[in-house]
Amino acid sequence: MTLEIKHLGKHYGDKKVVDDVSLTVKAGEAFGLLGGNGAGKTTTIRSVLGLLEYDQGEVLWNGRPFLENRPSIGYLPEERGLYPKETVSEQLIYLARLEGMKRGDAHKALKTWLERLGIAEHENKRVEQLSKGNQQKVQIISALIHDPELVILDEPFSGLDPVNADLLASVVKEQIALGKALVFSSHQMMQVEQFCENICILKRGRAQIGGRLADIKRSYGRSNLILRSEADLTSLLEGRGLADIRRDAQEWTLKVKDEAQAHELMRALGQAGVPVLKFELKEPSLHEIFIEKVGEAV
Amino acid sequence: MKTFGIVFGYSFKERIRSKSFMWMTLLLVAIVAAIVLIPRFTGGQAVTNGKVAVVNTSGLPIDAQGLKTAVSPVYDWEIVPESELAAKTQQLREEDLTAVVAIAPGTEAAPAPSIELSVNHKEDGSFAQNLNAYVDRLNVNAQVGTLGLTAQQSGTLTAQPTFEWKELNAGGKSTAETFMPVYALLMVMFFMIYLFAGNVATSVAVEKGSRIQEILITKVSPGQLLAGKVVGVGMAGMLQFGIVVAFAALLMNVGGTGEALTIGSITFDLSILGGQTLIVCAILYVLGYFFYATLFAAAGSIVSRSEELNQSMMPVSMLLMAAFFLSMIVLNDPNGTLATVGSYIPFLTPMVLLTRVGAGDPALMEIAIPIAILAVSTLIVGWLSSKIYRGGVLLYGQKPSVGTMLKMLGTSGKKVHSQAKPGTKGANGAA
Repeated sequence: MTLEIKHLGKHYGDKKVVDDVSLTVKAGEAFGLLGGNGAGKTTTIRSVLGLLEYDQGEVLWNGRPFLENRPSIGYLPEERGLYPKETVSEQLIYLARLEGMKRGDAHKALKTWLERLGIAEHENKRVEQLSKGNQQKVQIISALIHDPELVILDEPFSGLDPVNADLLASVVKEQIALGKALVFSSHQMMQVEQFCENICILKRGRAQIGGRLADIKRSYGRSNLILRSEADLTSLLEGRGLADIRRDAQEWTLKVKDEAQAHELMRALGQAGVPVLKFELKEPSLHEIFIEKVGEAV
Repeated sequence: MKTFGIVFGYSFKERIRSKSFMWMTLLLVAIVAAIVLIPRFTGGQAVTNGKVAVVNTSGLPIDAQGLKTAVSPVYDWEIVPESELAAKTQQLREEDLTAVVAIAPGTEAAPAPSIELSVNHKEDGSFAQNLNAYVDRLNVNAQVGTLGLTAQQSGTLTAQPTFEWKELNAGGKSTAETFMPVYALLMVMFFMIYLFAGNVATSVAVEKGSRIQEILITKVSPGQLLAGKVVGVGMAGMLQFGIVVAFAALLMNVGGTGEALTIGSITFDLSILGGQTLIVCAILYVLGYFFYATLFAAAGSIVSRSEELNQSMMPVSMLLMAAFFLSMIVLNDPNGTLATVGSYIPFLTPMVLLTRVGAGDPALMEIAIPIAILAVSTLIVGWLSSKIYRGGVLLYGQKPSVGTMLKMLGTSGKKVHSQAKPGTKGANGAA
């Protein structure tokens, strides 16, 4: 089960909102589709789903045109959508049946999901009576109840408190383990780093960077150095060509050109006899890569 | 077809469980009860036009029953003594009476009896001519009696001319007889289409406003979604209509009279129209509903929030109202050019053709061709509406207008991607 987007293009008038975007999502993998506001993430997703027509490129599922060979889809849209006046069970069973589930199976699956997300007592309440976080859980169930092959989650964590965010994280991991192909769009880089093996960062409709997250990070090199010491290191750090030296309560963070420069610094600290409690050389975080790539547009 | 069934079932259930459905049914039942029962509570009698007090000093044999039979059945007649004349006139001033009549004997100068009719407004004395003829006849009879003629002579003198109506119905049915039933059928059609088709628009706008549309459309093709909704809401409407009609029939049979419903002097009797008319009427109700419901659905799909619904429904409501008013106009001339031409224009057909069939005298082809045109137009409108619907679903923040609808037609159809899954493909025909 593989979703492939090849050279996707979409414009409104003269404005290109998606420009030559290509990506591949395999079964058992979460793909992070990232970008600032208006970068073209939602347009890309809508084009894949056939909600919008695209002008260029193609979308394939298992090598065949997506819309002629549609998998079952679990879609959590960016703008949440439920019937406010209908009960939770009524609408979730309706949505599941539209995906071909029998009423009885749908009801069984509903029970399991409501238990899993801890909202079993709200089964027969109207959606408008629920809190925002619980509505979000209902929305998540609507995307997953029919055991879809392709799961598309657009900002799934919005509105959830840390406890429920962890609960959802475990659900997402479970979906990946079940072999679903998962497209994950989020502004929260920590979650993306947690789940996604491959990412693509969009800016004004174009892919700025894409591929395996580990490879991308490696390509940036380990240039982030974190030092902790009770002594004042200012005089030792100055004049060595180190960039972005910052000091917070206990730690110094700075950028080195390469690992050799970091080792040289370590030697210098040793020779000066300064007690160092922590010396860590790190790859840049996805957050930093995102800021660098999307930076001024956000 | 399976998804259509699921959407249909959901729309139907959603509709009949809604509060507005329950209240509307109760309201209609209450109105029907009022129409049927109020005349019964007023003594099984039709509501009258009022009371008339008659002071008769002429000596002529005038009584209330005679006045009712010979002058007017829609007034309550009361013979009062002369001494009450002033009191009755005062009552008339206070509008407790409709009219006061004083019939006095003739004088030497003017030998015929005199009639004085007092009313507050001239239209309250619409019986004046009949009254005059009645008193005149009684007077002639009385005078003839004083002449000492033989029974045969007096019989010849006082004999009434025989009078017989012959209704040939050339140029169509009697407009007077068919007016009320056709008028009622038109009213019911207008409100049914406006209510039920309007419900389709509301339902679409709610899905759009709550953004669930975006999820639905990844599961069901817009055509099936639209068709399921239109038929589901329509069936709920039929159920409501059925409940009200059954209730009305039950009430009217409780009295056991089986007579036509009479309100005032107006008799409401659908059987005047004949079975053929009612069959055509049923076809027009169904086609009219589908035609307008799909249009209303398109109107519902271009709004961003349900608050904007009235604005976007306006053009469609205007068409419906135009059809209603035109049918009212041609009800007086159901075989005229306006009626004939109007019946061929699809958005006017349901009501104007109903008027023609009910009150006029169209040939079979003049019925069949407009119906065929309406049926084909309904399919085309359904197809166009599903395109507007598909395009409108993702359109937010634009002013709902005819322009927006046209824009949706332009952008949504070029490369139609089937939303249906392989198993259900080809079943996405709109209503």
